[in-house]
Amino acid sequence: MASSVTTAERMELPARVRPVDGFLLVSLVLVVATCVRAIWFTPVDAMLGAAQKIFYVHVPAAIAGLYIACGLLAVASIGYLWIKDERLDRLAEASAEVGLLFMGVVLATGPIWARTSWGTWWVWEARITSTLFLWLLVLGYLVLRGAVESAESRARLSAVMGSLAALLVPFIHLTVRLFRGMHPGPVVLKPEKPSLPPEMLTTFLLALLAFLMLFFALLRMRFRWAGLRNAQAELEAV
Amino acid sequence: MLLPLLLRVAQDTTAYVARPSGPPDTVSYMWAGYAVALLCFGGYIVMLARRIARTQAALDASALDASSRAGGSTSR
Repeated sequence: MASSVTTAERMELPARVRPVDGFLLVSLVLVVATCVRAIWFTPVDAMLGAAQKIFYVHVPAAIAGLYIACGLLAVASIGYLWIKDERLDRLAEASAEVGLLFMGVVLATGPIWARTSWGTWWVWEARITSTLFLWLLVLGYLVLRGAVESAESRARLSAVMGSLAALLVPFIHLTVRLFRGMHPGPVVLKPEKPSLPPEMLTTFLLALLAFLMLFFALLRMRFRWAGLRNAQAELEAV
Repeated sequence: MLLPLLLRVAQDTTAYVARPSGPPDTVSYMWAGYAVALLCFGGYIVMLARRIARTQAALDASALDASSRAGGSTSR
């Protein structure tokens, strides 16, 4: 009993976390401003009409969800397996959940755009199918985390799965070059000059900045919430 | 020679080809896309904010309980 009292007394609680902070508010304002610019102040595509404007949400969400989130998931997972720092486990967990959200937005907005340009909601082609597969893998990663009770085993097993799941990302990036499919090739992330007119490129770059800020704001909140949750679990265990 | 060129043009979503009748009316699809994105991000932010508020309250209660049992206070 005496030892548990000492543990409680010594325990450092994490700093208070506000449900909505300034960084998130700034990123939300930027996202709204970008959407206003995209919808009302950016030219309409002559071939696809207004539906092409989904591009300003779809592509930034893909860059944040696939490249940034999965990259962070892999780096944090490998880092955890190497140095066993609990913060890396939390970073991997937060990246996976926020990445799942952004990839979900990509998979939800893609078919709406596809319906107007391809005449169908869904095509089982390489890029779309492999993105869905990655989304399911990341979902599986989060389900796995919920299924393992021991914190150490949970962190280790999920770190292995997280680092393996992220291996799909380079493959997804190359699918448009490796396979013939309906998904268009890169418009901006390619060795050549971006194939967008200046007004569209400006809106796209603003959208990219806004959604990346939103991604990091959500990642920060999710990371800090995981710290609170772990602290509460430790306190309850005392 | 011609086939790769045709494929590139066909796959280029930003190609500007003027039509006499103007661009197709796909405004409702644009709104649907933005609404879905708003719903996803908004829903997640609300869920995360509720999680944080709930865990913070539970943590405060646990800390208070632990400190009262210990007869001292936990440090923040």
